[in-house]
Amino acid sequence: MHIQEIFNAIYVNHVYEYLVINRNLKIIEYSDKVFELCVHDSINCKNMHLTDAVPELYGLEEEIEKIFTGENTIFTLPYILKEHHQYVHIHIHPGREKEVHADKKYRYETIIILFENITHMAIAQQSLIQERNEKTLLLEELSFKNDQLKDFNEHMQSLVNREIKNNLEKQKLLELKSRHSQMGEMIGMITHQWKQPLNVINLIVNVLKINLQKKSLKQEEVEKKLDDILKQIKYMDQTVSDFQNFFNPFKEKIIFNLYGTIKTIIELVKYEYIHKNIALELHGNKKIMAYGYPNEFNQVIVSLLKNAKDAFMEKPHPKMQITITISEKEGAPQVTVEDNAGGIPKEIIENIFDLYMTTKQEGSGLGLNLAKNMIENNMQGEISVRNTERGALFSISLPAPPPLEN
Amino acid sequence: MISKKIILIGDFSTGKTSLIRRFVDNQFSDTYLSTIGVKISKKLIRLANGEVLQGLIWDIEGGTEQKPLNTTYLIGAHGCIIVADVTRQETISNIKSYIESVQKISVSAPFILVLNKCDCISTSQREEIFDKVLSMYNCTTREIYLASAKSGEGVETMFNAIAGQMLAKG
Repeated sequence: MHIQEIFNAIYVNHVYEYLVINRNLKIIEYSDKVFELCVHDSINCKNMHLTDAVPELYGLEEEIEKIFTGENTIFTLPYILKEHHQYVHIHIHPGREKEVHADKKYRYETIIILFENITHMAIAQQSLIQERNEKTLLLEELSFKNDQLKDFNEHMQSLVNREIKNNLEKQKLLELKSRHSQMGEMIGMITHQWKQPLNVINLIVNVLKINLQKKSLKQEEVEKKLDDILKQIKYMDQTVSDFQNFFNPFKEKIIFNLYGTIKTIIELVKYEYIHKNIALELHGNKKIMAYGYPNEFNQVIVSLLKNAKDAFMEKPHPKMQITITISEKEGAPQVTVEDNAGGIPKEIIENIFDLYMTTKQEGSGLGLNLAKNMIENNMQGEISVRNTERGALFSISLPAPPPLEN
Repeated sequence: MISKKIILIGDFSTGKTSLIRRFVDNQFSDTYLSTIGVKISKKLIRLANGEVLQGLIWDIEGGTEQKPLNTTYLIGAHGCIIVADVTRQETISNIKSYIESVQKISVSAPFILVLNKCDCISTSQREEIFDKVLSMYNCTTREIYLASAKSGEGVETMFNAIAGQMLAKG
């Protein structure tokens, strides 16, 4: 029986087509519909070279040789997409075996090239693989975006950190600048304060000198005059100590007496204000304690006093007065500094604590901004301002001291 | 006329089918359709020196973690184009395993590396990736090509390059 007849007998609606080739790779037999799966442009492929009919087998001559020799029993080229979207597996099988007395090198005379139509299976697989690959691409995209987001966040964080560092450095510089400025002013005030005791000492020394020349100097008088000089020197020494304390930075928050602290400041600066006919008054409870950095609090008070003094210089008043009042509100220490210089212009009062905000020609706009920073950021208090009938009123609220441990 | 089997391999969605479509039909589509198995296209390749060869270009299903490259397709290849996607670093890292497969199955077949989708990156990024791949795989500049199936840039060049190398091998 002919192979073709056997084949057709077995597979009526078969999914297989075949070619039979000889050792010269020439087609010697083929199934009816093999053209649909392998040969594109020829119905009669008898004696055609295998690779002309099935270009997919080009380059596989060695593998086909191995089937002829019996070295290999089968070779499959899977999932080959043919014309009209048909998929085939191409199986290469040995065909008719040679007789024993024939050429020993080759075991088979023919080879069968079998085309298995697997289009349905391939299409189903294609949709599965398509779905899987699309999901993988989406996941890759997601992961890429996540990495980008992470990089962006890290970049933003580094920018924020750099900005914070810059701001801190800037703040420190501003504080230093303000401190130096205040120090300069205070040195001026101390010079002023020292003039009085120096005059007294000068006077005493002159009296002593005259009496010595007159030879009327008595032991008791010398002792008394020396005591007077010592008193003046002690006063001058106290002034310098207060000045040193004023600028001595406290590393930790401490509990301090508001009245005593403000009184010391007034003692330090009073001559400057007296000289300018500005009265400084301090009222309120002498026992109220606050919790924070006293030197920073001192700087805030000096800054507020200076602002009031500058306001008076611009708008002199027959009875210039600055009143500092200490009180307590719901357990929190309060300090108000009020002047009668007419108040802050309405258009700037809301921004008065902003950096570089100043109404003065030679002002830096640092003082009140630093004051706010010191009270609110460093001491967790509050500072605000409003205009009264007489002038500006600054209110400071500080945290109450923590309860003492047993 | 001389026929040569040229295979394109690489990870899935690197644009192998699009590169062939651009080369054979001068067409491009943005739609991604995964290849199953292999599809063979024919194209005459004319070299600058006048030589012509018939390219049997094998578009092979892209490798994935779950389904790696079927190396049966590599048997008898005369030249190989390994394709990666410049926008997906992993496809560039995976070039190594494709080189190993080619060197194992088609020992004497020359191969080139093609970095596809170069239209998606800037000129400076192209230079950076090119140099990186050059040093990663210890290649010469004749073995690496930037291409874009979308714009057509570098497509002729890469096929001509592999054809030239195959002919030089004989």
